[in-house]
Amino acid sequence: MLSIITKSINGSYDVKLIGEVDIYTVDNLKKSVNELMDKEIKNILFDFIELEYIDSTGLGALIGIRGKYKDIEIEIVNLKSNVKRLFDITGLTKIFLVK
Amino acid sequence: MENNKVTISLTLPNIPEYVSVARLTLSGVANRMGFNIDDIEDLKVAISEACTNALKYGGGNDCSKYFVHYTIDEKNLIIDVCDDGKGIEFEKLKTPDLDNPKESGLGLYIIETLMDEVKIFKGDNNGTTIRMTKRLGE
Ligand SMILES: Nc1ncnc2c1ncn2[C@@H]1O[C@H](COP(=O)(O)OP(=O)(O)OP(=O)(O)O)[C@@H](O)[C@H]1O
Ligand SMILES: [Mg+2]
Repeated sequence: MLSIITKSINGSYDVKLIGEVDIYTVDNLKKSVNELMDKEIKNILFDFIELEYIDSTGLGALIGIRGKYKDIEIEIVNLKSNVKRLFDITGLTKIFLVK
Repeated sequence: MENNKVTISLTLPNIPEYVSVARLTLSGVANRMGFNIDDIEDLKVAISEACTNALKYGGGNDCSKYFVHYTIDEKNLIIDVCDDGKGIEFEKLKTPDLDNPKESGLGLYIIETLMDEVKIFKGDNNGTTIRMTKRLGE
């Protein structure tokens, strides 16, 4: 299960992922982000505080988003240790601002 | 030792929403064996990567299925994920370029990083089996 809560704060978007991103829920993530991108935004902050699980399907989606919207600043915060480890292993910490 | 082994098996449909069942079962098994929380998180990712590949490259339609076996002895958790797809093409596998991450091609690399031992077999006729082992207390 994955829930996504999006908030707009002064033109920057706060996207909170709650639950699990896997092959079943990843389309939900892609769809939400694509809808956001239609709004000509400048930056996105992904809040992972309640993201319990992600695997290569989710990481791949994030890499795809990074490549597709090159002008948008993307920051990712509050990674749990297991998620942070995957980001380190796969080099995602090099292409995202991770805090 | 051989007779201390126990195997728990699942038959899963080629439907994405049931990959989480493989994860849940694994958490239960690994928790019982005494793996710590970090190890269990790693195991969950590894099993999901293997199941996701079985789904993507295995049988191919909603009626297909694949198999997961958890074999436990005192110190090892051995996980087999078997599909009856057209089989993996070893020649085409490459390690990902981590300085330049790509949208795909991460799964097997992640499995190898997280597990202690990984073997991939190609079946005689068709199909792929990936065997992943995690040792307790390493
Ligand atoms: N069960 C399988 N049967 C046949 N081919 C497979 C199987 N598992 C993996 N492969 C092959 O190995 C390649 C690499 O798999 P890997 O999981 O590393 O990456 P991916 O599935 O392409 O992308 P990602 O896992 O990052 O979403 C796949 O593209 C596929 O060609
Ligand atoms: Mg894969």
